[in-house]
Amino acid sequence: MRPVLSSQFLNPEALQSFYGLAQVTSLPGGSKTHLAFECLSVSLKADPPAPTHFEGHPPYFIFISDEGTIYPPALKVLGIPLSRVLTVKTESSDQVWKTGLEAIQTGLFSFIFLRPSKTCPTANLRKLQLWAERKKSKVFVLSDHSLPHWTIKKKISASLPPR
Amino acid sequence: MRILFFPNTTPAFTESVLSLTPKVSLIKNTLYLDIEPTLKLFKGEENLFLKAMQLSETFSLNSHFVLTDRPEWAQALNTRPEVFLLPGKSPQLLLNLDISRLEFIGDPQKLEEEKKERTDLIRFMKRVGLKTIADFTRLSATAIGRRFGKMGVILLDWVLGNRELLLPTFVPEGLIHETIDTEELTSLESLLLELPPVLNRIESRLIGRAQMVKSLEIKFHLESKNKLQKQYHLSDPTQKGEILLKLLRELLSDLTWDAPLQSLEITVTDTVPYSPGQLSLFETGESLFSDLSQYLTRLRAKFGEAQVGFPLLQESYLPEKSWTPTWPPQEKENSHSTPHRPLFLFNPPKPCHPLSSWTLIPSENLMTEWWNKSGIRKYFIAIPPRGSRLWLYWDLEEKAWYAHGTFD
Repeated sequence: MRPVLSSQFLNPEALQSFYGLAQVTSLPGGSKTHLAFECLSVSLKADPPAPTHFEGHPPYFIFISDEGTIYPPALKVLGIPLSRVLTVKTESSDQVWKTGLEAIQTGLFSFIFLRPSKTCPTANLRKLQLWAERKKSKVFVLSDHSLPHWTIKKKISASLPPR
Repeated sequence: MRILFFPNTTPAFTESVLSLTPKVSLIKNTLYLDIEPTLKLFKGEENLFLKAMQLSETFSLNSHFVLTDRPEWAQALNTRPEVFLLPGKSPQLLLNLDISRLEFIGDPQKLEEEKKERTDLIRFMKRVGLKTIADFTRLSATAIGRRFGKMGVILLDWVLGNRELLLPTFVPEGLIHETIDTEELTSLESLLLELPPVLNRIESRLIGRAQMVKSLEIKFHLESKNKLQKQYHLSDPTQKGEILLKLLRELLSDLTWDAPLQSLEITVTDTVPYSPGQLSLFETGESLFSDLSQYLTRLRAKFGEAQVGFPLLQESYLPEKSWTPTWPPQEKENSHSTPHRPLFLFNPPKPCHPLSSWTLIPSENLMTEWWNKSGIRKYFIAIPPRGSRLWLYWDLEEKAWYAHGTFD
């Protein structure tokens, strides 16, 4: 099996200065969940580390989904400390968006991963984007649904690396 | 000595005033606070008195009180709703009282027992021309002993402050319990408006007990005679009503009832001793952790403890049981994952029917735990012609396909 992607395709500097909403989609053979966490892994390994408002304390990350959960042993392989990743399994996709907005508003998380099974109204997405920018959070929406381009700051697609 | 006396109290209010002074005595429905030892702490009598009044408002008590110098005089001085006597001014007012107020001077624990003897004596005193307590004290102790007997001498000692009164100290007992009558409430919003005063009472009682809530039980009594019961464990014990309100708001917004709600009971089922846990102004890590804990408590109240937490790896062959959500976060070093396992698992696994066009690559076979019903799982990586790869298993016991994860 070919590797899906590797960190060489991510630009750590661009990732460090990015705040807002990023949509991560899958192309055939690629894994959007893997790519999103690869972004986190790259950011954690960045030297010098990205500036945060947590003043020297390692930041927390949150993963919210209504369909399931991340598989933590696989996350650990990526070098992500599990004691920093809060996982939340909601009952519906609406709750993913709602909890995501709350998580941004708390200002406790530097990386927020949302994996909803359905999309949400554009107005809510816009709210999410504005709060993400205000709180300087990196919000990754792991969804293959088409989202309005003006709410999304970055669109990252997980695909197989070129041969 | 400075005594703040409340003629009508409740055990809940009595608990809360323990935050003002440890010298609290509850005699039947009357409350005696010796505020002298904590006057300095509260920066004066006025501040402490105002705090006591705020607490009485929290518990919706009438504002009847007596502030005097000695506990044995308090009941006798309770002649109007608010009696505020500056230090040293109590004896003067006491002496001007009608002779019948002698009935209430002395040890409040014995007043009921001595009532008949006192009433008879006071009737006799009135007959011999004594109108005020001052008239009584003008007589010498020998004359009082000769005319009014032993009880007369005891009363004289109480009036002159010659006896030392020791009252039993109040110790809170039982669980903290509050009930809200919801019969007349028509909406969730009105119920939420009813909650803050109740939670303020709980907070005051917790402060009085020097405890923090660790777990709460909420009982919903429905018109259909059904009882809905929920137990909540707080990841970060607290005293604050504000935090409990946020928690209950989350909880109530997600609950539905099959019949009108008649009453709501909130019981603090478990507590831990209060530790001030002062968050340093310069230590953001501590406050970050505390905020995270509060947020996690609310999420757990909403989605359940099993759905929210920091992953803690544990030994299990089954992928879904190889970790558990915990709080506080812990790091465990021993972990193993195979590259053919996906990063995202469906929870619960979704029933699935692979199509003939899919390519199935066998990945691993897993034996489930022997005490579980299902037996062996054969895992495959399914590659459909279009779309994302899936992690499937064939359950040999159930003879069914399930999608356990996705590589998308």
